[in-house]
Amino acid sequence: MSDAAPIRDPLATGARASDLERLRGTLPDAVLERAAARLAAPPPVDQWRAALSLGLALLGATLLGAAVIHAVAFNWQAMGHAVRLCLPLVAMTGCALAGWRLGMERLGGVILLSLACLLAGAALLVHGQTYQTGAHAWQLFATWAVLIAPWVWVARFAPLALPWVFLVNVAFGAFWESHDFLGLRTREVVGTSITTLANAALLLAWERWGERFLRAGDGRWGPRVLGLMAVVPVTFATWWSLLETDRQALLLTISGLTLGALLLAMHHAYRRVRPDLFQLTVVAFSVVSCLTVGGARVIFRLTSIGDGGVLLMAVWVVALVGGAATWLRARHREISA
Amino acid sequence: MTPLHRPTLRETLAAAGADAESLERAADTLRRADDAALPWYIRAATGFGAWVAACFFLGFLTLTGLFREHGVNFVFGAVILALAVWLSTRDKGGEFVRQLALVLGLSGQGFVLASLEILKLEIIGIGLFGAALAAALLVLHRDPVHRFLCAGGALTGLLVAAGKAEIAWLGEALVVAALAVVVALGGRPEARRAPPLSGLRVPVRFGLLATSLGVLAFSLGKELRAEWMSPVTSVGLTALLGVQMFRDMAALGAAPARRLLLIPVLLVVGYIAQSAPGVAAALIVLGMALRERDTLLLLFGVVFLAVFLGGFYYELALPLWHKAGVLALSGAFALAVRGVVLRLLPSEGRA
Repeated sequence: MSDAAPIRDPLATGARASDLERLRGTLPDAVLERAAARLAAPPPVDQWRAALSLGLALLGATLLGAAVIHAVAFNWQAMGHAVRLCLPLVAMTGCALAGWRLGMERLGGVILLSLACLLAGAALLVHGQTYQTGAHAWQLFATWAVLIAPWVWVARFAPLALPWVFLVNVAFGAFWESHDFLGLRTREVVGTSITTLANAALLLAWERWGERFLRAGDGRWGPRVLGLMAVVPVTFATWWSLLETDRQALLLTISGLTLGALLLAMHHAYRRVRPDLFQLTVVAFSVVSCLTVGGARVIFRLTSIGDGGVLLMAVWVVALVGGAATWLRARHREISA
Repeated sequence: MTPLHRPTLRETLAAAGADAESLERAADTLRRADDAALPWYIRAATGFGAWVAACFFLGFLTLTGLFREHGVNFVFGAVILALAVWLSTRDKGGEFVRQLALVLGLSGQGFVLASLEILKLEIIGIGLFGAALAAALLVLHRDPVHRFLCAGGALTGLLVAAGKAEIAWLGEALVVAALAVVVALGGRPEARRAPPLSGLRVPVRFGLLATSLGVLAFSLGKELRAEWMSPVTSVGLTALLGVQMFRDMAALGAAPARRLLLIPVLLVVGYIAQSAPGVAAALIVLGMALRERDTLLLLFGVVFLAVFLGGFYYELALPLWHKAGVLALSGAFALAVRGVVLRLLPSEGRA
C-alpha cells in the first residue's frame, strides 16, 4: 500500500527572495539579481483590485453583521421565547437550504452547510438558556454532534468532518468529567484511554477510506490532526498515572497499555505501510515526554539526590531529545531515499 | 487572481533570463536542499527539548546559590552571551545547538540587565544600556529569532528610557519612526552583505513591527491612552499611511486628480485614529502585505485591524441601538469605498 510519491517540482511554488538565496552558486548572479528585482516589483493593478475588493467586501459585511448582532442584543429582553429561538433556527435553515441549492460539489455549498452546522449549536445553546432545561454539558455537545451528523455525512468535506470529530471528543470529555466508575479516576485515565481508542479507530478509517470518501481530504493534514488527537490525550494520561500515587499500578497499566499499543501500531503503519515522518515524530516525542516525566518521578521522589537532581534532569532531557533527533534523522533519510 | 498571488519560481527565473538547462539545475539544487533539511516539526520538537534542558541547567545553577552577587551575575551573563554568539556562528550542530544558542543568548541578556545595579545606573541608563546591548547582539548573534527579539528589545529599551525621561511625545515618535523604518525596508531587494550583516532585514522588520503594534495595544484602554498618548501617534500614523497610499497609487500610474480621492478616506481613518491609532497602523501593515504579497504580514494586519477596530467600536460611548447604527453606516461606507476602488482601478483585461 506504500504510495509512490510523484517527483516534486520545487520551481512550481510561489517565488520568494529566500529561494533565490538558496540558488546562489547554481545560477549566475545576474539572473538572480534580475529575478530579485522582479520579486520586489509591486503587484499588477488586477491583483490590487482583487485584494481591495475582497478586503473591503469582508470588512463591510463584518460591520453590517456586527450591526445586526447589536440590534438583536439591544432588543433581546423585549423578544419572546419563540422569537429568540427562531432567530438561530431561521438562520440555520436558510444556510442549509442555500447550501443545498448551491450543491455539495461547490465550495460555497459546503461552506454554507458548515455554517448551518455551527448555527445548530447556537440554537441548542439558546434553547438551553431560554427554557433552562438543566441538561449536562455533555448532553448538549452529544446532541449537537448527533443532530449534525447527517449533514457532515452529506457534505463529505474534510474541514467539516474534523471539527465534528473534535465535537465528539468534547462530548466524551464532558461525559467523563461527570462520571466516575468504580473510583478509577475515569476522567483522567480510563475515559481518556477510551476516547483515544475511538480516535485511533477514526484515524484508521480516515487512512483507509478518507481519500476516496472525503473532499479536501487528500492531503496528510487530516490523519495528522487525528494522530495528534489520538496520541496527546493518552500521553497526558500516562504522565498523570506516572505522577499519581493512589492505585498507580492499575492506572499506569491501563494508560501505558493503551499508549504502548497505539504507538507500536502507528510506528508500524507510518514506517512500513504509509511512511509519514510527522506521525513518527509524534510517536517519538510522546515516548520522550513520558520518559522525561518518569525520570523526574524517579529522580525527585524515589531518590534523595536533592539539587543535583535538577542537573541530572538536564542531562536526561539532552540524552532523550538527542536520541529522538538521531532516530528521526535516520527515518528522514529512510523515507527520502 | 488571488490577493497574494506570486508568480512561480520557474516563471520568475525564466523571465530573468534562465534557460531550460539552468532551470533544471535549479530544481535539482532545491530538491536536494529540501531533502537534506529536516522538516519544521522535528526542528520545533528538538528545539523545545533544548529549552527544557537549558531551563533545568539554569535552575540548577540558581539553586546552588551562585547568583546572589550582582557581580557574579554580570560576569556569568557576559560569558554565556559570548558562548551564545559563538554557537550561533557555527554552521554545524543542528537544531539543538541553534536553540541552545538562542536560550543562552536570552538568558545572558537577562543576567546582564538584572545585575546593572553594580554600574549604579538609573532606569533611563538601564533602558539605554539594554537598547545598546540588544542592538549589538542584533548584529553579532546570527539566529533570526534572536535577531527578531533583539530588534524588539532595542526599541523597548529606547521606549523605557523615553518614558522615564517624561518627554511625552518622544516614545510616540519612536513608535511612528519604527513603523516608518518597517515600511521603508519593504518592497526592495535586500542588498548582498557578508556576515554578520547579512540576513538582518526580515528579523529587524518583524521585531520592530511586533513591538510597535504591541505598544499600540496600550492605546486600547481609555485611561492608558489619555495618560500617555497625544495626537503625535494618530497624526504620525495617518500621515505614514497617506504617504504609503499615495506612493502605491503613483506606482500604479494613477492620475494626480484620482489620487486626491484618497483624502476623504484618510480623513475618516484620521478621525478613527484619534481614539484607536492602531487602526491606522494595521492598515499600514495590510498595505505592505498586499504590496509584498506576504502572508505573515497579512496575518499581522488582519489580527490587529480586528483588535483595534473592535476596541474602537467597543469604546464608543453610545447605547447599543445607536452603536448598531454607527456600525451599519461604517459597513455601508466600506462597501461604498469598495465601489469607488473598483471604478478607479479598472480590470486590466477590460482596460
